[in-house]
Amino acid sequence: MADFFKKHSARLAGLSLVGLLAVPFLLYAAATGGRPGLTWVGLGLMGLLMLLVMKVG
Amino acid sequence: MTEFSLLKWFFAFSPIAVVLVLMIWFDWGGGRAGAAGWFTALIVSAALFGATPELLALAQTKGILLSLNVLYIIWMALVLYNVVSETGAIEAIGAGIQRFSGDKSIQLLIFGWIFGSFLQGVAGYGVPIAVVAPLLVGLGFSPMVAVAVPAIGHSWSVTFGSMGASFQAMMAVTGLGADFLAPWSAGLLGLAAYLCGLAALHVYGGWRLVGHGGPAVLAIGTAMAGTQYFLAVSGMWTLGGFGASLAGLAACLLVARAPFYRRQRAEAADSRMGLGWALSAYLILIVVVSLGVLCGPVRQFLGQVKLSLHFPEIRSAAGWVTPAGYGARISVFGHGGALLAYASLISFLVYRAKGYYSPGAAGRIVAKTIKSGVPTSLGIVSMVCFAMIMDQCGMTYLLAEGISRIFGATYPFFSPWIGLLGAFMTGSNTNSNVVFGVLQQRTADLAGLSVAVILAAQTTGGALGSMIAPAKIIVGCSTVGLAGQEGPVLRATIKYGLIITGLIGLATTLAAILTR
Repeated sequence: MADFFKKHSARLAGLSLVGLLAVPFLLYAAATGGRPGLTWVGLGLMGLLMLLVMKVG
Repeated sequence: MTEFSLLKWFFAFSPIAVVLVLMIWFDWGGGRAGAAGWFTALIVSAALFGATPELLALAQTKGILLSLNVLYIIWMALVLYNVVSETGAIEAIGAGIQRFSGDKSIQLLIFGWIFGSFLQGVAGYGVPIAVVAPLLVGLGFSPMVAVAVPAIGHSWSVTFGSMGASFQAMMAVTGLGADFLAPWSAGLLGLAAYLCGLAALHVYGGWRLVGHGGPAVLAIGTAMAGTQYFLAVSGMWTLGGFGASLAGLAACLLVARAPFYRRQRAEAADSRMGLGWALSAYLILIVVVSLGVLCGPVRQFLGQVKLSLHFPEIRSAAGWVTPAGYGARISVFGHGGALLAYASLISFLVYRAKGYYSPGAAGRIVAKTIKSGVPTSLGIVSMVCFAMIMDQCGMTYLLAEGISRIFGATYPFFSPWIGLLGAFMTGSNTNSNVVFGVLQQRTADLAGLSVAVILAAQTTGGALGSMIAPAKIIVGCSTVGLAGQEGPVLRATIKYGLIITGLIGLATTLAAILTR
C-alpha cells in the first residue's frame, strides 16, 4: 500500500485536487436542493479527499 | 450567538494550532497540514459550534469559489514564468543586470532586493530565492549570504507580487475592495521595502555596508515604494510588485552610474539572448494588463462573463447567522489570471517565432507548471476550506473577540505578528491572509480600529513572513548545496524578520492612532 502511494503520489495529488475542486459544487446542489442524503455523501467524499491529501499532498 | 469562554476560545484556535504544530515541528507541507486542520475544524465546529451538514456543505462551496479566484492567478503566473524560463531568459536577465555595477553593495541590492522582487512579481512561490541564490554564489558571495539576502530582500514585494495573488486572497476572504485596502497596504509595504533593502546589506557587510549602500536604498526604495503605491491605488494592483521592481531597476541604472558606486569595474556575462528579448514577455504583460484594467471598453468586453453562486442564509445550531448573498465572483475573461494567460500565449508565440525554444518546450512548460502548481493548490484549497468552516460557524469571530479582549489598545502592534505567524506556518502570504484575514478584520471591528490599517499590517506581516518560512529557506538552500543546513540561514533571517516586523508594528500603532 505504501509503495502504491509512493509510486503514484504525483498523480494522486492531482486527482485529489480535481476532486476537491469538483465535490463542493455537488455539495452546493445537495444543500440548496434540500437533499440531506446527498449532502452527507458529499461531505464523506470531501473527507476521503482530505485524507488522500494528508497522504500524498 | 456564540458566547465567549476561554475554553471555547482554545477549541476555536485548535485548527490553527494543529496546522502550526504539524508544519513547524513535524515539517508537514501546506496541503497535508491544511487537510489536518480541516478535520479539526470539522470536528470542533460540529461538536461545539453547532455546524450542521448544510452549513459545512455551503462553507466548502464558498471556500472553493474563493480558492478558484486565487488559483486562477497562481496557475497562470506559473505558466508565464515557465514560458519565459524555458527560453533561458531568466539567466539572460541575470547576466544583463550584472553589467550594471562591480560594487558589491549595488550587486547585492540588484540581485537580492530588486531582481528577487521582480521574480516575486512575475512568479513567486520560492522562485526568487531559488533563482537568485545560485547567481549570488556565482558572484562570489557565501552560500549562507546567497540564500539569506534574497529571502530578506524580496519579502516586501510578496503581497503585490505573483500578480497580486495574496492581495486578491485578502480581498476575497474579507469581502473588501482594492480601493479600501490598497492605500494602507501599499504604504506599509513601501516602508518594509526600505527596511528589507537595508537588512539585505547588513547581512553581508554589517553597518559599514549599510552606510555605503544606504543612499542607494533610499533612492531605489523610493522609486519602488512610490511605484507600488501608485499602481495599487490606481487599480493596477496586479502589477504592483512587478511594476515596482521595474522602477527599481530603472532607478538602479541611474544610481549605479554615480561616481560613488563606480569605483569597481563591472564584468559582463555572456548570454545568447539580449536583455530586451528576455524582458519582452513582461513588456507584453504590462501592455495586456494595462489594456485589461485601464481601457474601459476592453475591460467591459472582457468582464461580460462572471461566474458565481447565490447562497441562502446559513444558520448554525448555536445561532450564528451568515446572511444570504453571492459568493466570490470570477470574471472568466477579465480576471487577473486571464490577463496572465493572454500574455503567456502571446509571449510563447513570439519566442517560438524567434526560435528560442528547443523541441518539446510546450510539453516541458506544462509539466513544470503542473509540478509546481498542484502542491501549492492543495495547500490553498485545504486551508481556505477550513478557514471558511471556522468563519461560517462563528469560530473566527470568537477568536477575534478573545484577541481584542487580551490585547485591547495595543492590538495594532501585534497585528503584523499574526500575519508573520501565518506565513511562517504556511510558507505563504496568501495562506496567511486566508487564515487570518477575517480574524483581523473582525478584531479591528470589535476594537474600533481602522480595518484598512489592521489588514494592511496583516498582509505586510504575511509578506515579511516569507523570509522566515522554512519551506522557502529549504528551496533556497537546496540550490546552493546547503541542503540539510537550513538552520544557520533561518537563524539569520529570523533576526531580521523580527526586527522589521517590530518596526512595522510600531508604524501600524501610529497609523491606528491617526485613523481613530
